[in-house]
Amino acid sequence: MEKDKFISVIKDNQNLIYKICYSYCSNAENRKDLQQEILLQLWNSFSKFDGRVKLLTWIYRIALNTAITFYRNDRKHSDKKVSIDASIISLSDFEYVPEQDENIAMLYQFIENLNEMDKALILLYLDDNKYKDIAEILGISETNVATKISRIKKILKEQFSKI
Amino acid sequence: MELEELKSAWAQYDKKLTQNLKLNEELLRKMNLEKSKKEMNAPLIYEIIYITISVIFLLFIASATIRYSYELKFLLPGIITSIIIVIWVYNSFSKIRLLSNIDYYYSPIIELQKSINTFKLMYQKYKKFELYSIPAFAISAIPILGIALRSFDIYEHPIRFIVAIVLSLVLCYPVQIWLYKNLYDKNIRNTTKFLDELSKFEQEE
Repeated sequence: MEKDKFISVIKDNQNLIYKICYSYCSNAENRKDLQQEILLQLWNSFSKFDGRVKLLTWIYRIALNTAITFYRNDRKHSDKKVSIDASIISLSDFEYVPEQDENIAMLYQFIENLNEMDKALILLYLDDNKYKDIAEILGISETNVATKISRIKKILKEQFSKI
Repeated sequence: MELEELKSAWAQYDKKLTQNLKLNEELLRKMNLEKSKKEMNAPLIYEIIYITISVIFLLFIASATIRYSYELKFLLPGIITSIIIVIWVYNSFSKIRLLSNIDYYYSPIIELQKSINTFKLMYQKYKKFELYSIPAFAISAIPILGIALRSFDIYEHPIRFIVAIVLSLVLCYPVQIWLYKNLYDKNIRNTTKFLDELSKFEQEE
C-alpha cells in the first residue's frame, strides 16, 4: 500500500526528478544511475515524511541533495544499490527530445557550466519557486537567494542576449 | 532573448515533459527498495561491530593487565594498549553519534552537506590517529597478549618480538586501509574544497 502511494507521488513529480537528473548529469548512463539513487533516497525517507514541510520542498531537498552528492563524487556512481539497466522515468515512444528544443538545450548547456549549488538555484528559479521556498529548500536566507539569482540572471541574460 | 521568454520556454518544456514522460512502475517495483536501506548504513554497522569487538578486547586486556600488574614490563604495555583501545572506541562512538544525528530527510541542502562534510573531516582526523597508533598498539599489545594467552614472555625472545611486530603491521595495515577505502574514502575527495565553496555560497549577500 505504501509502495502504491509512493509510486503515485513519484508519478506526480517525475518532471522535477527528470529535470534535476538532466541538469546534474550530461551523460545518459550516469543520469540513469542518479535517477535510481534519487528514487531510492525518496523511498527510504518516504515513511518518515510527516508533513512538517511541503511535499514539494521535501522532494526537492532529497533530490537535490542526492544530485549534489552524486555530482561531487566525480560524476561516478560507484556504489550502485540496485542493478537496473533501463530508466525508470523516461520519455515516451513518441519522444520529445530536449536537445531538439534549441532554447532548452542552451539552457541546459548554461546550467552544466554552473557549480552544483548554482545549478540547484537556477533550477528552482526556472521552476517558478518563490524566493522564500528556495531559501527553505537550500537552507540560506532569502536575501542570499535574491543576490545569487540576480547574479546568475545577469550571466544568463548576457549569454542569451546574443541570440 | 529576454529572461521572461526563457522562463516561459522552460514552462513550455515542463508541459511537454508532463505529456511525454512515463514512469516504468514495473521497474520501480522491481527495485529492491527495502534492501537498499540496510546497505546505506554500512559505515554505521561497521562502527557498531567495531565498538563491540573493541570493548570485548579491552576487557580482556584490562583483566590481563591487572593479573600481571606486579611486573612493570607487562603493566606498562597493558595500560598503553588499554588507553589506545579506549581512544579508538571513543572515536568510533563519536562517528556513530554524528552519523545517526544526520537528518537526511528534513535538513536543508546546506545543512545536510555540512553535516556530511563534518563527518568526513572527523573521519579523516580519526583515521590519521588510528593509522599512527597501530605500531604503538602492536608493540604494547604483543607482550601482554603473549603472557595472557600462552604464558609466554616475549621479552626473552627479542627476535620473535620483532617478527611478531612486523607481522602484525603487515596484516593490520592492508586490512585497515581496505576498510577505510571501501567504507568511507569513496566520497572523501574534495571535501575541504567543497566546505570552502559552501561557506562562500552562504556568505555572499
